[in-house]
Amino acid sequence: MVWTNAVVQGLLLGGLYALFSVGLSLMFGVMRFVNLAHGDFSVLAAYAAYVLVEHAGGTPLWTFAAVVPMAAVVGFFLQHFILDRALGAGELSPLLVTFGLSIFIESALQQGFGANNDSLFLGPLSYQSWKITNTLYLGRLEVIVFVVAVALISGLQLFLSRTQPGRLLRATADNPRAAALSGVNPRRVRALATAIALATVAVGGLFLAMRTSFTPTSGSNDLIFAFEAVIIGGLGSLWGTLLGGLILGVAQTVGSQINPADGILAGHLVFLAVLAYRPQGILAARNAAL
Amino acid sequence: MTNTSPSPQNLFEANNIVKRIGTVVIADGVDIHVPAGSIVGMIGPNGAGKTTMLGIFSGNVKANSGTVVFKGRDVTSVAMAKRARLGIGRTFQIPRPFDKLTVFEHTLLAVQQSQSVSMSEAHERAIFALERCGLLKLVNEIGGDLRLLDRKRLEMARAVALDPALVLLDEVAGGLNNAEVGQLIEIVLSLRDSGISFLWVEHVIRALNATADRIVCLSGGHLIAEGSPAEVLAHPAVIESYFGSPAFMSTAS
Repeated sequence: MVWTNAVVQGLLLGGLYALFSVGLSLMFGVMRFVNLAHGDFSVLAAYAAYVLVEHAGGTPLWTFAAVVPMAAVVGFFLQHFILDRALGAGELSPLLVTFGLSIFIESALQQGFGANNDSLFLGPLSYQSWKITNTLYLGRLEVIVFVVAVALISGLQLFLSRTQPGRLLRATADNPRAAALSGVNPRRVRALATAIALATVAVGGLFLAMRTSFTPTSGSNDLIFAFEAVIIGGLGSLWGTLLGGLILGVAQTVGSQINPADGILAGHLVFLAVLAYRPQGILAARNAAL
Repeated sequence: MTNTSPSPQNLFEANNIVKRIGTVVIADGVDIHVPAGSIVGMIGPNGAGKTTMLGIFSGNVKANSGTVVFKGRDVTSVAMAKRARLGIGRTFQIPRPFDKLTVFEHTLLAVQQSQSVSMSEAHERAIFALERCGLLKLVNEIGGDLRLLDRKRLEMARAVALDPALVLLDEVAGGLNNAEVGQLIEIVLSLRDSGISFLWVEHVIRALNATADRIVCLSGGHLIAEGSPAEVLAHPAVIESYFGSPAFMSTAS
């Protein structure tokens, strides 16, 4: 029964990882670079929510309505004014630029908030749970996060496959020049991709801040989990990212069940195994969205 | 989008184009005009810069100087995507369809980018573009799975879906067999009859002979000949620079 519990808790945690990673996957799919500041943007979103609750009060839940659109706007302009410029300057520049952004965000947050752990406390929702059996309890917040993650990723997948902006994203991911030939402005499409990516990572960042705690530098750690989920699932595939997140989550909780200190290590080992035996990821690129 | 421009005599004009790549002179003051409703062929020896010229016209290559005028509007500094929306379609020498989009999605994308119409109208136009290029049977195939002729048709359909006034063709007949070239000629002529003009870069002389109203020959940065297909193909300078030796002329006329 403890194993069932470990797997179920792992799946719930994996939903959060997937939510967290889907933007990284999308940006890589469209622009072929890894945003090294991805995790830091989630922390930035968490601090934005933290400040909003400090000043305006109420439950942190309402901050989704403010922080997520804000993140999308930041993403749009970040792409338009900074990342696009870097993309034009070769393969390495976007990596360096986002690495620089990561350092900048972490240092600025440390300057402003100190190195303490903070959290977005939701009151009873943070600890209430549903009892399934005597040994299996499902945290309410955890279930909500999982449901939102699956819904958001499914919605994004539908958006990509069924709508005109989605087709623009897929076409630009495939061949920017041919897309321009069809009248597509690739700059705007890239800005859209980054806007969506930052909006989703903001959702992930807020949920993470509600489930656990965050520090100015926890973004780098989050980036590693996000990166692992994306690689395990297969680059550029959103379903793959969801699957990757779930596998990583289960690996970590089952690992912790074996030895409480080794949960994270177990996740890394699964990641390494995938890299060694199936480097293209579990859902290979053939049925990838991008 | 209907064509409501102040009816310029030439649908498309490239004036005094100068383009150098390193020490190679592609164009040294070249003028090319495409009258509305006509097909203009462009020939020239390999490496003359025909594809580069098409790039200058479609907007993905910058000229050193000169102007590009489309429908009476100076589009010299207008980006490729915007020119496409204005009605300049183009195909590339090596067709490169989107690997993960269906054939239908290729044209739907172009319709929705260039024309503000309802969803059902967009679907109809996307289908119509495919029908005109003989792709109706393949609407649900994935672009990356198509064979060469169908890839070329898809490039054409993608351009046609923009509801263009002008389509720039880059060696669409290359690599096709005789029967396939015949089909291509049919498609181009029927599109011309429906009001689309063409500027067609081609090595397959037969295709231009059957379609072009006028042919220009680009060589060494200049148009060394200009006129009807018969005139240009018999021009001594063209024979000299393009065919190398008169012995190869038998296939051309």
